[in-house]
Amino acid sequence: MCGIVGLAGVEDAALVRRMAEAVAHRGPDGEGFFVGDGISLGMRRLAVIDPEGSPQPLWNEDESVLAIVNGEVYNYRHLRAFLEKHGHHFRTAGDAETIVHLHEEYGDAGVHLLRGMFAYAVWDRRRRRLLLARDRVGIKPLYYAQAGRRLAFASEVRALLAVPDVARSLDPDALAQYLTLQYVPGPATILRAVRKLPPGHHLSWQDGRVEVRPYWDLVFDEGPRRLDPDTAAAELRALLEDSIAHHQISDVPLGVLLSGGIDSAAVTALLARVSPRVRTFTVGFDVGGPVGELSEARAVARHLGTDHDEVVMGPGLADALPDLVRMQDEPVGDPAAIPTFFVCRLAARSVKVVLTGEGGDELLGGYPRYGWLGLGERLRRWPALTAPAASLLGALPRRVGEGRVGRRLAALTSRAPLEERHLAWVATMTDEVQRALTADSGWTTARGAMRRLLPRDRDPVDALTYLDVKTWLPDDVLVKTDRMSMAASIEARVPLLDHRLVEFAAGLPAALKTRGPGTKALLRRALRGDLPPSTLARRKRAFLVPLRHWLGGPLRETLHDTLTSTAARARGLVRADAVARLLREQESGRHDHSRALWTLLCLELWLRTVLDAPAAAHD
Amino acid sequence: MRLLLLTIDFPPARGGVQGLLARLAAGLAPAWQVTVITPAAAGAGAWDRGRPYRILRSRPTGGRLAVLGLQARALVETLRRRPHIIVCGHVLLGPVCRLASAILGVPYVAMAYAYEVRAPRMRWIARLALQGARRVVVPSEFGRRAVEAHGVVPARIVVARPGAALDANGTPENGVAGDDAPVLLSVGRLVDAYKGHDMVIRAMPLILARVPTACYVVVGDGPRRAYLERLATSLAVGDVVRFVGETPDDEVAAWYRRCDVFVLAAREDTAGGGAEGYGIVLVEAGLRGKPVVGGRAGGVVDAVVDGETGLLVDPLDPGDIADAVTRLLSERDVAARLGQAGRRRAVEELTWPHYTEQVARVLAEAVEE
Repeated sequence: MCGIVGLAGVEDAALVRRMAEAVAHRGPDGEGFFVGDGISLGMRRLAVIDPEGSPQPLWNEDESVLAIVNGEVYNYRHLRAFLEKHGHHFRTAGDAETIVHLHEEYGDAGVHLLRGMFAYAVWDRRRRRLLLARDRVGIKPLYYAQAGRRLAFASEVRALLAVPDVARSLDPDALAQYLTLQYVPGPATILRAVRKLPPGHHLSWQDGRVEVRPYWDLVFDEGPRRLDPDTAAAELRALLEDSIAHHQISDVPLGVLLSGGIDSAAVTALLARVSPRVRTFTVGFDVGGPVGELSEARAVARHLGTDHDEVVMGPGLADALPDLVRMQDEPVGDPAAIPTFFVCRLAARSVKVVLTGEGGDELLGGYPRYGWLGLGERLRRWPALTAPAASLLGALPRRVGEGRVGRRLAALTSRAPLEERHLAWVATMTDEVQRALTADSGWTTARGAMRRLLPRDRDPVDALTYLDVKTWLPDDVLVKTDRMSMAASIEARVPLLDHRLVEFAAGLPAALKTRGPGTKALLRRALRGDLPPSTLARRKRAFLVPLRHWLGGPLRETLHDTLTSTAARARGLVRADAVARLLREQESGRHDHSRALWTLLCLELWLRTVLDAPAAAHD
Repeated sequence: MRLLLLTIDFPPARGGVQGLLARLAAGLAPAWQVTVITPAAAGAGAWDRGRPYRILRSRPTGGRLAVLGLQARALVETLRRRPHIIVCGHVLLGPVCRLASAILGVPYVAMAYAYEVRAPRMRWIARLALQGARRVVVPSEFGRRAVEAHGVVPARIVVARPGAALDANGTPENGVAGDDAPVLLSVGRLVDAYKGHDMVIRAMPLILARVPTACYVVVGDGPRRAYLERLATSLAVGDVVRFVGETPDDEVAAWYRRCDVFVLAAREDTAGGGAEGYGIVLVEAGLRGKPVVGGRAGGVVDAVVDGETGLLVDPLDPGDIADAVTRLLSERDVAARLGQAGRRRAVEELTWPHYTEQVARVLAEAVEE
């Protein structure tokens, strides 16, 4: 919930108000400001806990500490009792006020006691020091920009664009990586002047000096453990139940975004055990007959007896797209954002909070690539075995080589280092295609960045999980979830990313989490008896958004018009002839460039709707 | 009277159970003719020399086969020596004990702790060992409940709380030591997660917020060490958590003397049965006049009298752990009072002679029955 904005080293009521205006959709229920002491803070509120009370900024007893908070503290009742025992007096009945008192009690370290999703700013008036903090895995966003001794921060990039000092020039490295990965890995953003505060980090500002420090990291346990699958599943189960119990705390109606997969089904099943009436929402696609996971979701809903509602995306996509890209705030070329928005909008008619299954794939080994790449890493020791297979791969017809089978074969047989093979699996386009588009391919930068992030001498599955938790999860998946839910003015909660669950999952041997690529065996074991056998038996399916169909059908005109427009050509960010060739090849069906084209489309739409827009753009 | 003590865990290997059984054997030796059967181990020769009881080392030395080898040796020795009683040091040795009692009529007393009788994967063998025993000796009420869960008649279960003893070169020290950096200490093998070192490390940032010079010393080694080291680094407290590894007894004693607060934030695992049966280290710290912080779980509640000899905390809540530790580090009078009470309890109630006496009584009853 909510959006926060602020300036340090500047007292400017009008500017901070304009910044808050830019995130007004994040908090339609109220606003609050503090201008003084040489700083300016603002926030917009979506009221979920203590809806009638809890105005922000929040103050401590003697008004020496104040805070603005975006997010939820799920263990606030426990913390409140703990802090009251220490003599603290609360002004509100809400969750966010705990942050102020924790700060008094423990300073920056107070963050370690928070269980939840959050981005907050605390102003210590005595020390004249500002502290920014972002939750451990980056569920809630926080961006900042520095100009000399001054600092500006906000929940969204757009609010920073309201600040005259923040230059609108693109970062060429970030742009190249965006084209390769469909998102910009933190701490960079597409704009040179704007940075993300990385998940699990603090930023402090005092007398114009800025310091960014980590306070948490994901740690894997690779020691030999006496852990059998049943014990691990029982522990996982207990942690899941506890997480759901905390995530359902709300003073407003709550539901679940249910896909056909096991993660959201698990969330629904466990919620249904503790909540009398669960509402579920699903989105499907109409591509001349419905596709997607509608029937799977329906089966789960029926099994668990939920109040189920669904929406089928049909026409109107072309009209909605520019707005959705704008609401996404950062350019993120993840097509899953579109159905996420539609299902959030459906849910918003009846609830104000939704739980989702995000994070399960990263933590519990849901992505088939972990398994295939991990297996490939082991096979590297036997080149005599893989070499013939690799040459066979070269001889395959192009269509097969570029398809799913080819990708798996490449993962198994390539002798390239792990980051290279991982990149080959996840990239939106090949190095070759990108070199035709831009002078510098993002492959080089992305490869280097991945190499630096991938832990050495670790189990490859753990190493890839770490990489995903540090980049893909906060910079793509969670951006999508946060922005699209906020665009519908509802709050999304991600119980599978509860930090105790995250830490537990990282402590498990990779072999226990999956049995074969993408199987999430442990989660299935933990949910035995709660879900229909068909859901428990189903393997993870490939991406379900009918992107190719969209680009050839409802979005065909938008795609061509946008990418070949004078405005796009005038920018000169990508070579027009290379774009034209991609469009031609897509049209003729010779190649499937859907992801590359989608990434280009989202970029151009973002440049138009966000960057070209006047500074004081209203929503 | 002749007594056969069967155990997988025995010095020179280190640990609570190892120390306990060695002290028990020594304590019983004047009255009983004690023979210990235990797997061979590196350095055992030197350790075994000059003990007031006989030690027979079985082969192989380790692994699953060690349990079989030990039992084969035990069977032979039972036939040869015809002991009046067998002490079953671990439930895994239940089969030979039951065999001896059924065929040869030699009764046995089982020693049970906590984890091994709670673990689901050892359920049947634990049941076999516990149900055939004339008596079961446990270190805590928690251990009693774990044994009762196997259907053992309550009257056959005896709680005997283990004690502590100072090593020859360890001198007791009252009150809180040192004007240097405040030291928080844990002693124990880094094998099982339930010992709670991880939660103390998670509490360190909070402790440092109040006592900026505090440091945490971890004595002991094991497969979990690498994880705990990385955990400390990940929370930016890598430089104030010191892993000293496994050290000789006199160094351990020196750390006990040097520390200001001793902590064992043990928890009960949600599944799998992992839990602390007692926590002898807490009593050892008490004997040295140190205030302790223990996890309110398992047998630790028997080793610490909350508010008297130490503070019990929620072992899953870093805030609660930090609170107790900072209180003892900053309120010196409270720390001193708890430390003195801990010492009194260790000297007056929880001594090895007292423990041995209790077990000896149980053994005598078992023989007579």
